[in-house]
Amino acid sequence: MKLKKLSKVIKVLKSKKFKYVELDTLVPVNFINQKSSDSFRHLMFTFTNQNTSWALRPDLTLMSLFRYALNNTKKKEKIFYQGSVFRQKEKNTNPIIDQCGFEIIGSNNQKKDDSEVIDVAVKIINNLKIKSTKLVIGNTNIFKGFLYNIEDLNERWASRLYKNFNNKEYFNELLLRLETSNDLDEKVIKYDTKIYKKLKSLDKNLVIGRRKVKDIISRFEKKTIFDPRKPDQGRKISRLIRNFINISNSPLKDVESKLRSFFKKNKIKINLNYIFPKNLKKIKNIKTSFELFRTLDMYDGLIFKIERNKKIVFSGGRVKTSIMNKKIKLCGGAININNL
Amino acid sequence: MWRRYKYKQLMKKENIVLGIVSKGRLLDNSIKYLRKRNFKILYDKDKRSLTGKIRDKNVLVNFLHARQIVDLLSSGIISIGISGLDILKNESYSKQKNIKIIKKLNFGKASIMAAVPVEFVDVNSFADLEEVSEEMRKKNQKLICSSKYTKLTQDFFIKKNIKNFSINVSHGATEVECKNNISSLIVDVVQSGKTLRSNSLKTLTDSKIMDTSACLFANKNALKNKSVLKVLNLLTK
Repeated sequence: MKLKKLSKVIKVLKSKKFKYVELDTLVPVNFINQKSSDSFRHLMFTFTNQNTSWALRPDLTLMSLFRYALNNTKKKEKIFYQGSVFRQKEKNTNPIIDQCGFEIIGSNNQKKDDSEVIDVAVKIINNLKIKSTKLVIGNTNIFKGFLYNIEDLNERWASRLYKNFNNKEYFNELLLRLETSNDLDEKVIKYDTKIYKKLKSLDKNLVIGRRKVKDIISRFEKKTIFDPRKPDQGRKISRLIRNFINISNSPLKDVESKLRSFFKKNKIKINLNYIFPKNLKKIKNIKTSFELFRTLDMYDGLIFKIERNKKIVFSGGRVKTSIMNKKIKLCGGAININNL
Repeated sequence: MWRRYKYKQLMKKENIVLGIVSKGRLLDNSIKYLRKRNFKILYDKDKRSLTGKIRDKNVLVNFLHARQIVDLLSSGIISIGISGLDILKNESYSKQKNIKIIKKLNFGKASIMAAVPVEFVDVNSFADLEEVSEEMRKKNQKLICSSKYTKLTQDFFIKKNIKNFSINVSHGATEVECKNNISSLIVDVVQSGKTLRSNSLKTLTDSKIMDTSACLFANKNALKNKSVLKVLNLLTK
C-alpha cells in the first residue's frame, strides 16, 4: 500500500522534472557540528571508526545539503530522494523513519521556487486523493522583521527571542524576564563589575575556562551598554509580542490586512511585499491558514505544512545555511510516508 | 559473571536483595534509616564486607556504588535499593522504565546545577551561555561542559536551546576542570554552594537542573512478589 502511494509521489515529482538522487547513509559528525542549526544532534546514532566520528543520517535534507556542498557546484538543481532516517527515540518508538522529499537547491528566484514547491506539494496531495487536509503557511522573515524593528528592543534581545521561539516554555520564560527584569540582581551586577575591573588589569590573552579575557570583557561591555532594560519598556514589548503572535495565526485571506493594520498602529516599519506565494489563493479543496511556526530553527522565509487530522503529512520551506564555508539556499518539502 | 550467577541463585531461593551505597554520608544515613525500621544489618565477616543480611528477615544486603544499584535494579538482580534520584534520572529511559520510585527519603538532599567561573562576568543566564556558544562556533570551538551527568546535562542544554556544546565526562573533582581550562562550565551536585565558591565558580539564574535526594527504589517486576511488597511496607512505615 505504502509502495503504491510512494510510486504516485515519485510520478508527480518526475513529471515536474525533479531528478532522483541517492544520498549517503553515513555522515561525519564534524559536518553536523559545523551546521548552524543542528537540532538533530542529540538524536543521532554515532560511532567512531579510526578516530573519525560518524552518524547514521538523522535527516535527508541534511544529507542533500552535504551532497550539494561536496559536489562544489553553484548550479540550480531540482532533486528528489527517498529513504530511511535514523533517530534515537525514547519510549520504544521506532527509530527508523521513512522520508521522501524534493528540493530546488542553489536557486535565487525565491518567489518562483516557493510557488513551485507549494504547487508540487498540493499536486501530490491531490494525486494521492488525501481528503480533509489543511495547508498551513508561515513566513519566518515576518516574525524576524517584527522583532528586529521593535523600537525599544535591542538587537541582542531580538535575536535571543527569535532563536528561542521554537522552545515555547523557554520563550515564555524569556518574555517574563523581559517584563520583570527578574534576572537583573543589583548585588550580582555590583559583584560582576568588581570582577570586571580586576579582569581589566589582567593580560587580555589570558584564558579562563577556555575563554580569552578580552572576549569576556568585550561581551560584558556590550551587555551593560546595550541592555539597560526598564521594567515599563519590557512589559510593553512583551505585550506587543504576545499580540503579534495572536493576530498572526489567522486564515490566509485575512492575515495580510491584519498584519498591515497591526504594524501601522504600532508604528513598526516592515516590508510586507512578500508574505506567501500568490498561487495559494487559487488552491481549491484544501483549507488554508497562516501561522507562526515554532520550528524556525533552520528555515528562512517560507515555511509550510499540510495536516490531516492534526497529523503532519507534508512539511517544508526555505532553508538558508552555511556548510563548509559555502552559503546554500534551498526550498523544498518532504512527505511523511508513515502518516499517509 | 560469577556474581550475577550467585545473585540469581539467591533470588531463586526467594531471598530479597537490598542494595545500599557502600560509602560516604549516604551509607550512614541509609543504615540509620534501616535501623529506625528495625532492619539491623549483620555483615558477612566484618564491617568491610560488601555483603550481609538483615537480622530476622529474609533480606540480603549488598553494598554497592550508587550507579551500580540503579544498574542492578534495572536488570532485576536486586529487588530493592537506596540510591540517588539524580543517578536514576541520568540513566537511559530503557533502564528507568524498569525501576519504580517507592519513596523519596529525607536525606541526601541537593540540587544539580550548572556553574561557570566567576570571571565570566558577562554570563548570568543560559541565554548568555547560548550566545557565548554561538560566538565559539564562529571560531570553530565548542562550549565544553564537564559533568558526570551526561544525559541530564544534554537534555537540559537542549531545553535551553544550546546546540554548540560537548560534554566532557568527569569522574570526580569536577570543580577543578574550569580552572584547568578543560571546560567552560560544570554541572554538578550543589548542596550549600561552599565548594563552588571556594573554587571560584558561580551558578546562573536559571541553572538548576533538578532537585535530588536519596530514594527507595524497587524493580517493577519484583513488585509482583508478595515478600518484596511486605519488606517495602516495613521500609516505608
